[in-house]
Amino acid sequence: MAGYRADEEYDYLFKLVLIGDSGVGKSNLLSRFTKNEFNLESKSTIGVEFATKTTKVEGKVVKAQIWDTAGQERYRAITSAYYRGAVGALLIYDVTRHATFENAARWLRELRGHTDPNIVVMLIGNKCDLRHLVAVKTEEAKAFAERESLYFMETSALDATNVENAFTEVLTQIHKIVSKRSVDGGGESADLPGKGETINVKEDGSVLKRMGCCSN
Amino acid sequence: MSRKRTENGSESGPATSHVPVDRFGFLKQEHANSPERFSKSKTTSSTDHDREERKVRKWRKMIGVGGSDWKHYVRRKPNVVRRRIRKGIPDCLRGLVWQLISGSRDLLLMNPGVYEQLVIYETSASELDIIRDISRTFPSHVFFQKRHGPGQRSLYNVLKAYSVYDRDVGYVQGMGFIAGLLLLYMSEEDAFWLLVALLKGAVHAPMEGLYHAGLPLVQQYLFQLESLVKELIPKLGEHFTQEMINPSMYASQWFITVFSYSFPFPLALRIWDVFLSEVKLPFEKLIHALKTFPEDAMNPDTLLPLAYSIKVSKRLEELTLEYQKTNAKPVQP
Repeated sequence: MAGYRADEEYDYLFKLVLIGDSGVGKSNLLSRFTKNEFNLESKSTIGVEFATKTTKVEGKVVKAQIWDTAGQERYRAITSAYYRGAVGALLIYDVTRHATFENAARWLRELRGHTDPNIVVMLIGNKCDLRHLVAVKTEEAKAFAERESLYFMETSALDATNVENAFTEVLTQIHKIVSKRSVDGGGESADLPGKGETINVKEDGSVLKRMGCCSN
Repeated sequence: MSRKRTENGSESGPATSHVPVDRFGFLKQEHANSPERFSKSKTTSSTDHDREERKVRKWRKMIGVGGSDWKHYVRRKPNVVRRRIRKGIPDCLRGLVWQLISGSRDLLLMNPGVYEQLVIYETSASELDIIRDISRTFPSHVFFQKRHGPGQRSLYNVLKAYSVYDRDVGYVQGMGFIAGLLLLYMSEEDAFWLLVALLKGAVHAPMEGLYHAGLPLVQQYLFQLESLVKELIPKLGEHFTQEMINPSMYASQWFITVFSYSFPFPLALRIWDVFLSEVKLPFEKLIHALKTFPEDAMNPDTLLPLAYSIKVSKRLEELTLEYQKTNAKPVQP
């Protein structure tokens, strides 16, 4: 953590996780959002990686801390620890592989088993640039998202379609919940989530308020 | 058996002819794994060259023709062997020596035809998973770069064969980087048996726990690393605790791929030299790297000698027992 500055200024720190089957494009969505890069020849993710990006959401400076997890089933032993404290999740499937969409239900169960019920989840159909290979119809995914109360978007990390939009939408929805909580006057601490602590979006610690600038 | 490698990137690589590669075959424009920053000898002087020649001659003598003298030498002078391995196995002999010290050469000789059988006649439930990762394994290395080229085909064969050989483990992401590293130094069949020697345990404890359901051995190593950091570098341990950094965040991929995934390539090779012969993961090196980071932490010639001065073996054994006691399902012996 060379050069880390504790006094870096932001109003909120939101922790997000990227989940979904192996090879759906999680790492490239992350690098497109945080560095505006796409790599056709990237390595498989082993274990976990993370990146951050600071952005403005409804006038507030929000730092997104995004955890990118390996998709293979066997890794669940390590990756599920990263769900803890997450206030947002992007559940990603590959629009050209129907099996990755069918697995979304399982990923969702897994996620909900480890996180607060108020977590903001967006279903993402990635690789939508491959139009001639689409195997998952938009309507089908939309219906699933509605049934499960998820936000939904189709993206392409390759040509950058909707990537910024998807992350911004998730961050905005989280911010809405948090600021509503502030107005309601719910007590919040300014600590990072501790180990083993259950995070509640309503009274959480992981939705970090900084500098006291927006507490009232 | 061992493939010809390019020297200093001036000659052509085996797969593509005019792409500049470093002396290990990684594309030059790629920074990940590139040894450029860490290799001291950018311009090899003639004295360096002579020293290298002498070293190779000593090694050849020690090994004998095709490894015939090796066992004898190890028995007679274990300390000399150990010292020489710690200084780094000459690159041109690395593949052969790795097979000798891991015990994989014996496995190969005892199982004629088995590898071919596994590759040609058996089918694996993991085939699609393997294929999905093939082009995502060392994508910046000339040998693995070409789609369906010899590198990718060998990698597929070795991984598929292993997934059939041990259906409990099957294929787990990360194994590809180990197989890939081996394939840069030996033939497919040799790489397969070294993988078997490593995971099933030929001359040392099996490491298949890295890939079993629940990744028990990875969890054990993470626990040990965390404990050692707290004990040996208390200030850093404290800082990690405060920032809620736990070792699974930075070290899972080190253990799952035995350092072949993201370490600078020359360092990964030197770690493998010692790891295969001394039969343990280089916790000393990790501790040392964390202590000195970032200056010089990734230069093998600086890191390794200093790391040997840190003694952790005894404490590691204690921590292994402690971990196994506190976990209901112990790591398979």
